[in-house]
Amino acid sequence: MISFFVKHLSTYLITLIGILLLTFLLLHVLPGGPFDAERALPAEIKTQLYQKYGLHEKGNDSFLVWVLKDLKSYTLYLAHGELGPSLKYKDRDVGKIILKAMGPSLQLGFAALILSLILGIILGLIMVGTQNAWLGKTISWFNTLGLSTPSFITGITLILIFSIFLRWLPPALWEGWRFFILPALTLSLGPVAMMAELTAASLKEELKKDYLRTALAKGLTPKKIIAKHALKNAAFPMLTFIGPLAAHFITGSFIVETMFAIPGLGRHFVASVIDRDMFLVMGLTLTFAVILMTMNFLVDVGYGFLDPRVKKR
Amino acid sequence: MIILALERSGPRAESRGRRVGISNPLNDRFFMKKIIVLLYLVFLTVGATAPQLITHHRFDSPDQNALLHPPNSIHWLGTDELGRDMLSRILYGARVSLGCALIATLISGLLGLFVGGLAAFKGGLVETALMRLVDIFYAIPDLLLAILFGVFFGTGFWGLVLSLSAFGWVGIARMVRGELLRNKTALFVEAGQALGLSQKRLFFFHLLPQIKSVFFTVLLLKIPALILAESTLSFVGLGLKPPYASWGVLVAEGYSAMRFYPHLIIFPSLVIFLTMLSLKTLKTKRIS
Repeated sequence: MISFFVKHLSTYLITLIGILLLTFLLLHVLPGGPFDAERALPAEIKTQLYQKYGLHEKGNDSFLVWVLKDLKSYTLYLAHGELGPSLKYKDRDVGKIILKAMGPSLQLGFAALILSLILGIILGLIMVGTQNAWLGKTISWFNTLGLSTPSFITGITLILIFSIFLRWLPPALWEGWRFFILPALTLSLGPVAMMAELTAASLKEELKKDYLRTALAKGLTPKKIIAKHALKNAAFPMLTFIGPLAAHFITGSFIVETMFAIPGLGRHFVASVIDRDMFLVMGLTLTFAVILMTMNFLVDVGYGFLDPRVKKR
Repeated sequence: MIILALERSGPRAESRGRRVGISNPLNDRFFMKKIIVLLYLVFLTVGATAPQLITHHRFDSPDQNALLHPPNSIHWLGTDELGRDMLSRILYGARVSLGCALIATLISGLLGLFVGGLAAFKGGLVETALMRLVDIFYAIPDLLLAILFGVFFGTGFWGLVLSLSAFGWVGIARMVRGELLRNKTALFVEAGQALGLSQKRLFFFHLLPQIKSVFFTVLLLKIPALILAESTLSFVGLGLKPPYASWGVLVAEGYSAMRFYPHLIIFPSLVIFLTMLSLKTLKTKRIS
């Protein structure tokens, strides 16, 4: 078990360092610097600003030297356990900005994840079990719809229907549970459809197997067969999907947050790159990568629970 | 209910219910669905390559006398806030959106094939290094990569194409390597080795053709994904600059006027939705 953790953690650590290096490099390749505002600053002030944040102007250095210089000061920040100052928001720490914005983002993402898992699995079960042709067809149509609608179109449609025509729910902002519903629905429509299809497909595949016939023959009730045997084995491909699902909620939440004006991480995403707010971009990348990897790690652990054979490897 | 599900999936299910002989294609709903989808895609392609065949309005000529008109007989899909015809804007948008997605899919496909193939062919240290690189790209959110590359390459057509390709290849490379490795243990490889084929010949003439169908399926799936990515990028303001427009730009423009002029948002959204739907329907297989 310990070697399992160590092996995974070391791989993740290497990947994480790679991600940070790549992003850092890309940020330096981009034309323009963090202090090239609309108003041109005098050269001396600019130099002072760069010095204050421990960054460097390219000057006469070669590209590599320049990147290494900046990298050194970023590593110093990290070594002190902070993510560096924001270059755009005066006197604010990247760690604090991210911590403050993380709340709404995580709530939204978590709600969408739970919603898509529960609703998706229920729909999938109904698809396999129902004898009502119309119900099956409706769900299948819903799935097609969910799979081929981009999230911003889902969001627009929901806003048009529920907040402009019906006036039931607020179209934007983040001030209570009523503000929660539309963004969470927008974010999870696609994943619900995907999950339902996946559940139905893997459950159908599982039901063909002989051991379930045996279970039925020895007199187990269908409910028990599904809950105790079939679903557990069918969960395998579903689990694989949770990793990409987390990624979807990360990038998808960005559009949804912009659309519904939610004060989450997403809105910093584009702005920080355009402002060349270097430390903020790095902090965001780090946060997202860590969330993603944690999800992947949990999925790997989950495999071990579902299938003891994986643990032995 | 579950007994029935078990019954349905039993061996008898396959032999039952399959009609023999040629039926009237008009009654074949599966067939008709594909025909309709194909017609729609052909219409889009024609509209994208030669819009003047469908509408005589230009996408960038404003009309002071027809600002924000709802759909009517002159402007079939209405006009926007500068009096530009929406239909022609959508058709010109198709040129950008579809063109971008297609070219980016091609580039990602080639790049993915190269990286995945090289990793599977060389093995050892090269494979480890390449796959670590793929992992790194995989763990950075697509959108951040696209934004970074988008800012770097600029917001022109080719800038969009390149920033879409920058993350499109990653999944393909993974898939190519996985499929190649899976096939590497097959008997025909062993037979080839026994016959004394060179590594290169075995790889290029025997192993690579094996993954053809999976590769093209993934490529076909990539097109709607990249159309979506392009419209997302444009929606957040990293797309083309006016007067040029892609579907995402149109949706973004319509979004701000959604409350009072819903036709500005409904039609571009509808076109994106229909295109995604058609591309997905095109690849479904008949379920017997």
